[in-house]
Amino acid sequence: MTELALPPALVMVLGAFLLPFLHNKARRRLLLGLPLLTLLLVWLVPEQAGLRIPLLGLELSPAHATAEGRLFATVFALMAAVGGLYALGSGARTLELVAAYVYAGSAIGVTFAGDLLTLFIFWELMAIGSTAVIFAANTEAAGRAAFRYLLVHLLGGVVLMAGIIAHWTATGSLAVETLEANTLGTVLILIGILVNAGAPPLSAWIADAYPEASPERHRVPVRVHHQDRGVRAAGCSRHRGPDLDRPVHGLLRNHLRAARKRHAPHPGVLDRQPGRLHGLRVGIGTEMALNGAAAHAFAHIIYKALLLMSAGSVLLMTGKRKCTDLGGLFQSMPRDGHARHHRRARDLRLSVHVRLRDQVTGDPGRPPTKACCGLDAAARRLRRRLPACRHQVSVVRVLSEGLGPAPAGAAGGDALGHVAVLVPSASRWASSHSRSMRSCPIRSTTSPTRSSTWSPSSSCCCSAGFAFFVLLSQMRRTLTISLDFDWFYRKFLHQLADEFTLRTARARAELEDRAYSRVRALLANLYKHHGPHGILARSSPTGSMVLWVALMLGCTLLLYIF
Amino acid sequence: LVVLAMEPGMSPHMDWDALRMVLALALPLVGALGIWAAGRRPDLREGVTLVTASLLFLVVASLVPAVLAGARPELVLAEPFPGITIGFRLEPLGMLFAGVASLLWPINSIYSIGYMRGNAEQHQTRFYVFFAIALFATMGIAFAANLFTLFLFYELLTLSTYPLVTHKGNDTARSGGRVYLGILIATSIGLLLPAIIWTWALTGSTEFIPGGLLANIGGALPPAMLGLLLFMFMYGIGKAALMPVHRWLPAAMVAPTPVSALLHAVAVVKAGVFTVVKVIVYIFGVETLQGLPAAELLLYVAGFTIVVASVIALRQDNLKRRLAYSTVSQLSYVVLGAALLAPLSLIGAALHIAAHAFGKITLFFAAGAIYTAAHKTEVSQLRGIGWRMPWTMSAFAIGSLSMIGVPPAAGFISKWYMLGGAFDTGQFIAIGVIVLSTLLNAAYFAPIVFRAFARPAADGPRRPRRGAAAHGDRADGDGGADAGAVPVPPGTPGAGRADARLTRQRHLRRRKDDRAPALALPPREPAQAMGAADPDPGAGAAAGPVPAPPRPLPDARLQAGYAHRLLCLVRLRHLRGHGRGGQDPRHLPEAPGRLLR
Repeated sequence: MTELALPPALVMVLGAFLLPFLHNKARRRLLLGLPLLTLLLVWLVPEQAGLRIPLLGLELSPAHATAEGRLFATVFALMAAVGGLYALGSGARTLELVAAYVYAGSAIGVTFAGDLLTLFIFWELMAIGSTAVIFAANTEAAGRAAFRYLLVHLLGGVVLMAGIIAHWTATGSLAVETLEANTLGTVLILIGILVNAGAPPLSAWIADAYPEASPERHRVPVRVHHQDRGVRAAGCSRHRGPDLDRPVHGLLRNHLRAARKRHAPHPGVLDRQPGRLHGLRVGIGTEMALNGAAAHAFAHIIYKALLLMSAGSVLLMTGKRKCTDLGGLFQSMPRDGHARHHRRARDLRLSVHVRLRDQVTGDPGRPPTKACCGLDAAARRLRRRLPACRHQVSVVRVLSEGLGPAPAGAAGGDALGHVAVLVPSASRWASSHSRSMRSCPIRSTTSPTRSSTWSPSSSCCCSAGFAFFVLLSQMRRTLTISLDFDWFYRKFLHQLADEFTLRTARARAELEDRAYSRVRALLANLYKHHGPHGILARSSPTGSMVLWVALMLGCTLLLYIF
Repeated sequence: LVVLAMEPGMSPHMDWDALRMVLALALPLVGALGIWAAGRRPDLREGVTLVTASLLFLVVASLVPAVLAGARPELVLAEPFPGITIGFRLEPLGMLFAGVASLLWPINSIYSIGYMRGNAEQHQTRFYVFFAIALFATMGIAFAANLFTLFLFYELLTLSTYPLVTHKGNDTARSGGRVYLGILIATSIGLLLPAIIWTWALTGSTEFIPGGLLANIGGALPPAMLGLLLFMFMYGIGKAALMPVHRWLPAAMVAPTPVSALLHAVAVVKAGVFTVVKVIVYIFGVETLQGLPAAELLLYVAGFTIVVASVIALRQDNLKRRLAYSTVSQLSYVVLGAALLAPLSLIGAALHIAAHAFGKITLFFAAGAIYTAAHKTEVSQLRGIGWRMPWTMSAFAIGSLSMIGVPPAAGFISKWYMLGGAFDTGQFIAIGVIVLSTLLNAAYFAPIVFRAFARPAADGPRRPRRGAAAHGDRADGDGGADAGAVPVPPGTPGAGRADARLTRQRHLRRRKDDRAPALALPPREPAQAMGAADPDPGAGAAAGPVPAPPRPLPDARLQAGYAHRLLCLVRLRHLRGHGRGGQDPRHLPEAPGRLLR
């Protein structure tokens, strides 16, 4: 039996557009109440919701509840609520808030999409919202970053649309189901999702865009939605592709990228997790892998939100982006410092997901993947521990007297505190649920917490510790230039367009010159012969004309006679 | 006309439908006469325009249920040559075209009233008369039952829009008009008419027949000849703006913005692509063209036009020219959809006519509002304009999204069907073109929106305040003196009260003129603002840049500061006295957009 349900995503998206018309108390109530209402609706949508919206001769299903969808939607709504709390009393502009709520609502729409067309519609709506959120920084750099962000997002979107249409024309179905990447449509769907989720090689756009956002933007930490909705969408379609290529590529790219990023509080940490999620979980494609992806994404959203809000507070209050400039910050903004420590602490609390991954990659037939994952774990620890230690030292050190600014408002502090509490709670919850697999998208009897999974993780920790002491002197950061795929759309395409314009303009001018010269020559020839002085048109004496006519008549007579 | 509609054998229901079709044809013509008769009374004249446009929409809308129910009302007006008639038949594609044009005419008329009055355009009666005649021609094209009738109204549309394109009457307008008329007439006389005659010679008819008129002659015509005929039609229909016969469209951008909307959204280019679809479906027939190399070549030409026009649009700084090249690109979407020869793509092509019409008219209205209110014509000048005209630029952003094809905008639906058709026929080049052009569309529309909502520029006009004049544009620069009172753009709610605002604008200008020397002073040049502080008082009156004084004395600077504050105070009082929202500090000129702040 089907039941009608109110789509939570539509409520949030449409409610966001009421924000510009409300002020003071009403606005604050809506800011907090809208995500909470959405959260309530997320849990009220029945399993067999029967809401159907006709479009293009198809039936859209915007309220299709699944276990994983509800899981992600819950986190998105929670984060939107925390973001709303964080934005209270701040200088966040209306445009930014509307865009952020549209973004969050669209992300929820993706999680509740019962068909691929609905998923695509919310997907594109999210592109608009996220672009507006980035653009809201209102700087030149943010504008350029938002432009690149929009273009790559639209590229992924249109490829996804092409894939959906190809799948639809081939099978007549738009259902969200297990898709094998063995037809044109499913391959295009996979490519579209990967592009939008920041999979290599098109991944630099995320790291380029987020650091350019305003400090206020971090008050609405829904940008984590971007990455995790990609995982959610990929999990939604449940792609199963080649299990080696994407994980290895993704891992290598992650570490290379992380190594070259600026030592800023926020950009470098953003884009590694989705690659890990995609590469290891979705790319592997087993049930356990998808469960691991969902669990990891759930945890990732929460701790990344905490991290981003604290980074946003730091940026807003200090105006400094480099960690090395933040000496003594702990004295001035203790809550933000604590938040960052919590983020570090989550490594241990959420290690169940890492073990889940280890177990997944340890399946028979995946030795290369397992080896890569081992390397990934070691490199991750190595990379995280060393700069993190330096970073923590610089933030917490007591040598300085502090930077001076006060913490980022009461509301912001409350939000930070709430999320900081949420991190360990959620990780406990996720850990316990992972054991029983009650909240996982796919029911599995395999436990991720076997004792055998501890040994690789422990060995990685040991190697990371060893590397820390041995390579401590080598970790000095230097100014470098790295070449990435974004060179193609930053430089190459510009140069290509310039060259194209130049050559086509030249060719056109040449063609026009030739055509005009031909026409001019033709006109001159006509004028020469048929003009007033031309031999065929000039005036002649009457006598000579009579003579010529007489001759012609005579010739005609002769021809007639003979 | 009524008698002709009552053909023997028709059912009473059909007769009533035909009568309404006659009414839809006659209304714009009668309206043109009424507008001409009321030429000396502007209010009555524009009232006639609005009433006629609204009635036409109602009549056309009343035909929709009948056509959807399967009715195909017919009407034969005359038979000038044996076997060739001036006849009309309403079918779904024509219904769609007529519906879009008749819906957009009243909207465009409301906008035109504000624009023409606000800009104090000359020859407004002529403008409205030819506008109505253009709509008459459009209805004729939409209802045409055969190629001959369509050709007659097609040429009438070209000729009736020529005075509109050259409305400003200056050299630039005349030059643009020459290109416009030259290309459209040359292609239609040189290619379309011979193609029609050739078709008539082959089949003995010019009627639009479901399945294709040329399908009846089977393989009598070699594929090469059929291809030649196809290209004669496609390039003969110059209004479809396939490259290289597209240059009339950018050239026609010299016209006033309502005319640009007429050209790009309401009638002219839509008549072109409508004719293309009609020729492919009803003259050639989809099955006749399937497998024809020339049809595939047409697909490539359309794809080339889409991509190249988009690339050219990227390079245009002039807003209207960028929109014009966007139109060239978007029109070829329709041609591409038709050339794919798949049922889905044909639906997409038809829907794209409507989607593009609504999206592009929004963009042109916004461009005209920007020009009227802020005197900006270049994209590079639009920095921060979105904070001063938030509604206008929000509408522009929505129109851009539709052009790009982002859901849930209308452009997405047509692209969905076209891509479906491309996959059905396996035309991967078409898929690539659509993907690439989507990015290119975003690449030339997004910078406009981004720039508009970027941090406002330091100079330029300020945010419109309530109750300010509707249109500040003046050819003599009079509006420029009122730059601080940027009016509410036309097309926004309340734009119809143009007269009242115009009166208020004149009143404000008269009052402002009293203080003109003071208000005209540049506020950031205190030494120039105060004659006492200027070491050379005569230099201020001299033309050209005034050399800055070496070091203004402190007291002079102080005086200048007081003077500037005084001027601001005067301005504030001025606002409070005349603006409805003058009491609210948010309505001060310095305040950015209230909604998006």
